[in-house]
Amino acid sequence: MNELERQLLERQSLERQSLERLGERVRSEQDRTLQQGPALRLARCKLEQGKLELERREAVAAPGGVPRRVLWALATVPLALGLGLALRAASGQSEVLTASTGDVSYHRGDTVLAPASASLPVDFSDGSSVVLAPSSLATIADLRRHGAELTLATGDAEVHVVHRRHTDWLLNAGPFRVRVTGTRFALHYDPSSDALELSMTEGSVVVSGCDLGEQGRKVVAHETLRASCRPLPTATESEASVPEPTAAAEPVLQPVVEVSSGHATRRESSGSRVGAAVVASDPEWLTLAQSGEYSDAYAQLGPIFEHELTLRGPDELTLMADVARLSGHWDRAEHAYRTLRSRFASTSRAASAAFSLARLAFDQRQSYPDAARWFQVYLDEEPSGPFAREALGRRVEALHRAGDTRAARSEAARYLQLYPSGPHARAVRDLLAAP
Amino acid sequence: MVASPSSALAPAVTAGLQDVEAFGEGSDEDAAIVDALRAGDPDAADRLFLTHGEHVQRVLARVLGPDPDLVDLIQDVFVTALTSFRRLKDPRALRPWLTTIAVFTARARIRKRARWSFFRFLPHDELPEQTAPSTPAEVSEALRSTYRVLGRMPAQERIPFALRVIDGMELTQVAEACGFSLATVKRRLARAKLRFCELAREEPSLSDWLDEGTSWEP
Repeated sequence: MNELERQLLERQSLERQSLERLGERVRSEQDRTLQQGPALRLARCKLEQGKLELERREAVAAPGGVPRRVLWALATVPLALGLGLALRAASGQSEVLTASTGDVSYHRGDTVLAPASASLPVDFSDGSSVVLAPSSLATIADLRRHGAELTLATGDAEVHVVHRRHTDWLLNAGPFRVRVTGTRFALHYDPSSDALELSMTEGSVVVSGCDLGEQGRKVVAHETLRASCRPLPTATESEASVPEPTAAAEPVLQPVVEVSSGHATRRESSGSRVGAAVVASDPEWLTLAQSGEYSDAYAQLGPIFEHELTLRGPDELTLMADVARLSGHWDRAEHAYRTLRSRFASTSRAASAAFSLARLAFDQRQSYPDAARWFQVYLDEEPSGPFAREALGRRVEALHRAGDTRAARSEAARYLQLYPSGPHARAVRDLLAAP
Repeated sequence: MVASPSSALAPAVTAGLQDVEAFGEGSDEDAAIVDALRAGDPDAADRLFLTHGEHVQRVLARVLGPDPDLVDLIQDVFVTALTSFRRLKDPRALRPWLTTIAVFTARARIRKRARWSFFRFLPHDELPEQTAPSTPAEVSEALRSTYRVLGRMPAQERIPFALRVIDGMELTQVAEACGFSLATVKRRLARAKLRFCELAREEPSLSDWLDEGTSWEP
């Protein structure tokens, strides 16, 4: 075997080991997320609503599909599939709705608190469901013949209301009321800031309260409403070239009502105290970015980049930065990360943006002192964060390349103490062993 | 236009099952569940779900990553199983059979996503309704990045990669689940690993795992 072959085999072996480690990491993280999530419980509830599934099967029945005699055989399978419940729901209600979680039934006035470690589904006898996120709190304000009234005191709820002719559901969140006739959406309410966020998936709702008025504002599929009875801040960005982790920009309060869908944005000036923003959550660049089509995404995003920076939340700002970075527009990527840090300071997304700024400084600009500083910013803000090990390893490398050997060796020792078998361990040991 | 995420999946999945022969070590409990289903035991469906629900969820998640329609997909797998169990030749091999259904369901889902991507050139209001994927905050960037990379790979490479590298299945189990020969799985896996490593270098949170910091010399 010659030297080249030996190096190739060694490289392949290293790659195999790296993939094994990565696979193990992803596997354990995924298992943890699955255990904490509600998917399995919800799937079981749905299976128990056997008749709803049969209706879906009949709608898509085709040659090669399930024969009708099998469908009807399933229809006669008794209570294990809870068909009695589903049939009663499908045929219309002559009595007040019931609400339950498993064997626990709720009554009017009951308070429901989701545990800290898991979501809590509340199922209604009309087939509707409200899934409370961990630690969320809600009250069953009323149970009626064609609907229910819930009050979300704090937290998040995934709401699915089955539409029927007389469906009449009401959700309260602080000063806001959401009237529902058949739809699917996610609702978040934070009483400390009086902030409501409602993201529509299907159907439409009308949200009233504060200066939205009694008539309210309609929110349709693909729209997100963010509202508060207090003015919403918009932050100016810091233009400092050296990272200053504590120098957050002062927010400028700017009450405004914005409605946008697709690429058009209509700004309504308002003298009211209420800040509310209705933004489309699925512009074309976002769809392209989520499919990994970064160049095409940037082609759509580029002309509206500055505007999108003011509208988007932290997840989407991160995606904007990724789009810019992966399509080679590093200045804009940096701009997006800095904007995210400014607008959403002290969040884990802001810390992740620091990590990404470090990588930009290192990989694209070869500015190793800046890279080392940004890695340290990340470590200061998220010492136990998901990138902590990578950040410290890369910081060692950046310090070394910047010529700061003493600091590099000091950080190398720290790395080995914390991560003796981490991905940088071998190179770090070599650094410490070098004269 | 409203596109139900799992509509029309069932015919594609059950058609594939006609050629599946379940084999493997099997278990007595699995055989008992299948016997109970065949006997029309009212508790059999629930037993099936309680025994294998977590496994099905896991297989779907391995192949697809975070997916807003995971609940519907789990349901699809079990509805397919409950309407097709008479095709199962070896009742003791219920679990590998369910794994195959889950893999076929995931593959149909991947193909459906690919078809939806054609619509990106349509005006916004003509796009099918699709929930933007949302993942819990605690999901790390490594996990997201892994599935971003997998999303750029063809299904015939992505699926064996996910089952082998992420789930840790044996090669024979991967072959059985995918309906390939062992030789085909080995070949596709080798290509998949090469492609994954190449694409992963564009992801900051993955490149460190693959480089091991060997790109610099002290």
